[in-house]
Amino acid sequence: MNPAYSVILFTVLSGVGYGLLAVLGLLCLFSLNAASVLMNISVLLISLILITAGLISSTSHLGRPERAWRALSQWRTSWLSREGVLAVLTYVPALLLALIWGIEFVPENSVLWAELWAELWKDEIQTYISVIGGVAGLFAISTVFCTGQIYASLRTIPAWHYSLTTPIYCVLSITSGLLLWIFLSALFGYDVNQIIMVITIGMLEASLILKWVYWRYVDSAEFGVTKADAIGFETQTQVQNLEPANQTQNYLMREMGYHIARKHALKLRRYAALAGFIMPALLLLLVFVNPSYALVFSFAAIISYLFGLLIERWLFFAEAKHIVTLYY
Amino acid sequence: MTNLPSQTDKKLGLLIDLDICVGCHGCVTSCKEWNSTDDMLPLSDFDSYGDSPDGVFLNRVHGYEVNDGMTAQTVHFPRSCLHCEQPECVSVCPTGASYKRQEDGIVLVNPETCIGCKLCSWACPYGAREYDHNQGIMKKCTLCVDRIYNEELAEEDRKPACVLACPTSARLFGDFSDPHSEVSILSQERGGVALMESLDYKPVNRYLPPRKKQLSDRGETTNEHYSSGSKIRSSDAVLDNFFSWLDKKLS
Repeated sequence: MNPAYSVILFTVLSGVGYGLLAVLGLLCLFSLNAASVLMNISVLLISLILITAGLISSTSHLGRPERAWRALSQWRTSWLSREGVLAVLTYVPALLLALIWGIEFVPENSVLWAELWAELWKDEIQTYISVIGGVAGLFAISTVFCTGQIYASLRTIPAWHYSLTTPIYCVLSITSGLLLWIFLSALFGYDVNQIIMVITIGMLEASLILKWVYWRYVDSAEFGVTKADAIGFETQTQVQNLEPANQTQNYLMREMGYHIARKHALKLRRYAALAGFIMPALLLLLVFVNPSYALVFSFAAIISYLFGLLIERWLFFAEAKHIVTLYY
Repeated sequence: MTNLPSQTDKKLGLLIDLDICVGCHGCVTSCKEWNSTDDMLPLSDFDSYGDSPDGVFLNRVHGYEVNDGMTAQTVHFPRSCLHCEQPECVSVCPTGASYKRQEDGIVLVNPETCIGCKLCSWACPYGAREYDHNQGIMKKCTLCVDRIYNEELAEEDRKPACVLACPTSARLFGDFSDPHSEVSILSQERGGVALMESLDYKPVNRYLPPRKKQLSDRGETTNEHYSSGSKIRSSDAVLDNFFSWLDKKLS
């Protein structure tokens, strides 16, 4: 499949954004969020900026971006539509959370309504933050789940029609969210929570194993039908191209016929594993050893991870073969 | 709506005879012509007179060499939308622009609501959908829905353009849900094939496989040729002998 940059950028950027929002939501849900209001609201805004940038990038993939709103209508049947609906729904709890923290951020007694707010809500505010944060996190990860399902549901592309496709999308998204959260914690001057670091290293290694299993599957993935089946002859019949339907390229050949040489793919897989899963884990170990350099190491970890993720996503498309190529 | 009709009243489709298709591309050009004129949005072309012309076609004809271990033959294979009963191109559509008609089973794209996300073309194993970069929307075979019900046209012209254009009548149009229709009967008699049936998209269109070339038949014909040939040769030989005898006597 043709690795369209708009789609790669969308899945990576909003994947990180939703991952960060999911981490924030989980921390809120279990009231583990010890950070200041300033950090919370910054994390929230950064996740929303990433999500929005990704969504805008995805609309540049459309032929008619001005009609994008129509994609919200077919959630009963279409995973793409479900993704769109959840992407929009996620903004609701996320912006509510921003509102609550925004008002809290206003210094007490400086504004009358902030004072009133504090009076009215002080006791229940934590409960509200847990619930709304939990919902935001749930919507965020569900959106990523739908993204994975768009690909996993396509029976025409065996490399995607696989039980691990969606779990990998979710795990990679949450892992990137954790890495970004660790960096932001260090940036805001907090000692990075050691349990979260251990979880992140565990997620990175789980990602490595999942992707290894996935790549092994891709190497052996088959169409289940032959060129002879494609033109209505008995499966074992030998069919060779004689006259092409057209002398030059066409849409199908460009979109579905994209092919990457196996030699290059193997090299890129190694880069993706190294930059995406091995380097960030080593860098986090360095944070353990030398917490005073946490900011530098965690920054390097997230940058390395994003680099690896871009390669991983590019390969996800470039390595996937479509059944229609049987005709060409 | 991208919810599929549980059943359609008719199953309109094409029956394509691979035995007699000569690969002239007449169906390709007539399709392109009909679907680019009048009220239709044109099927865009790019670089038409340049080095790598490119364009949208709803029907393409491939040429293959098919070898079943006994004989090798050339097969011309026209490929267009099969108007499947389980069209995943429709169910993946996020906007409802793609739909399957309950009345006749034709799969269509509404050009007014398509957003050009291309997901439907990914979901189709038959390569029936082509994206139009000029208009930013997806195009596909409409089974000439604007011809087959068009009362402005003479009744014999109310058929898809490709069917009317075919010089060998390798393309037939009809209702596969009616067991007495021409397409159903021929498909039944000649073992009409649904492409890649195991994928379970349940295509409506059927392809008639080339008739089996009986090796024994061919053997007999060939022998006849040889024997008649040798007869001629033997009579030739008699004449030759006569002339050589005459030549000897006269010289």
